[in-house]
Amino acid sequence: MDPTSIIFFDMVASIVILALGLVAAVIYIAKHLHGSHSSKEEHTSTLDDARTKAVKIIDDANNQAIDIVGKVTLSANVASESFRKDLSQASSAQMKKFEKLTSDFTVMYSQVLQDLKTKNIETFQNVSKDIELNTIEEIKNFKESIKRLTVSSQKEVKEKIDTEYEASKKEIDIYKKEELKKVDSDIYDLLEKIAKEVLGKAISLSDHEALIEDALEKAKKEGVFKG
Amino acid sequence: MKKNILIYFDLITSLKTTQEVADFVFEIDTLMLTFFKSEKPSMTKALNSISSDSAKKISSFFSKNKLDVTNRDTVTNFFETIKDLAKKFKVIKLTLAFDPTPKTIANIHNFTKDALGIGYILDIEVSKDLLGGAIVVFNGKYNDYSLKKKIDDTFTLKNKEILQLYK
Repeated sequence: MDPTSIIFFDMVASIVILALGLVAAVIYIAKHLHGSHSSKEEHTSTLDDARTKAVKIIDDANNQAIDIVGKVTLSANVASESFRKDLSQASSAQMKKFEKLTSDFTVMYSQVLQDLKTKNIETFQNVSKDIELNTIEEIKNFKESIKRLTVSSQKEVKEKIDTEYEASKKEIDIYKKEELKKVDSDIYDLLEKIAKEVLGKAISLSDHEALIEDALEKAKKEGVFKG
Repeated sequence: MKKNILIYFDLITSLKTTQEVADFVFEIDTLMLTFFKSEKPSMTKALNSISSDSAKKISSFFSKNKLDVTNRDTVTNFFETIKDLAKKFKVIKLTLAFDPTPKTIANIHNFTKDALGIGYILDIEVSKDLLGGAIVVFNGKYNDYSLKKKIDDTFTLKNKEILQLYK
């Protein structure tokens, strides 16, 4: 609530109180007059006088009230003007202050922002560097790990291949030997068949006898018949 | 009574194989049985109980050596000596690649007689796998002189050379 309104309401309240006082006085007098039935006519003039006086008092009170209201209005106007002026000044001052504060705040805010930005940039740069370093480290570790795994895998694969190679070589050797044995056997069989076929037809009875005699002669020479 | 072994020479050398000896001993047993079972033994009658070839040999033996065929002791001595000599033959076991004819057996036997002397007989088996030559087994000794063995030995010795042809 502004001061002008407060003063205005104070004035109105004073006028109302005075008016009530006047009304109370008039009622009292009227009652007093009405109460004395002694001389109605006597009192008529008095009543008229009183009425006139009352009217006069009311008029005076009204005038006074109007005067007061006028004064109050004036005062209120003056107060309002002053208040407006003060308000304007205060407002202006506040505005200036606010502008200054705003400006300061803006500057500070800019500064803080700038600082934050700088810090953030630094942080980001640091984070970026950290990330870069970490990433490089991770890649390095990953490379090492891959290298180790690759070497290990290569070794395992080589061992497996060597084992498989040895096993296959053995199998092939065994197979080769078996096949050669078969070939051997087949050759013998074949040549025996051929020899049998050829010799069976080619050897005459006398040749057979000669071969048997040779056999017995050899047996004799080797001492088969001794003892 | 002293035995004169030499008179048995022809009879003994006429036996060439174990089969012939076994047959001859069987015939001697038959002859003995026939001869001694009659109350009046007769060699002529008894000889009818065996093969004509053997009968001829025995008859020839008695006549050639002028032995009394009616004399029981002489005949008994003959039987005992023959059976005794039959047990003393040395057996040469021969495995041949072909089935020999009697002539071939005779030739082989003659060869052994010339090379080793008398008293050897042949126990002949046939195995055509041998191709030629013979396997000789005597007194537990085994000797392979067959063509098959020779071929096998040759292949064993020339094995590497033969296999080289296939590589």
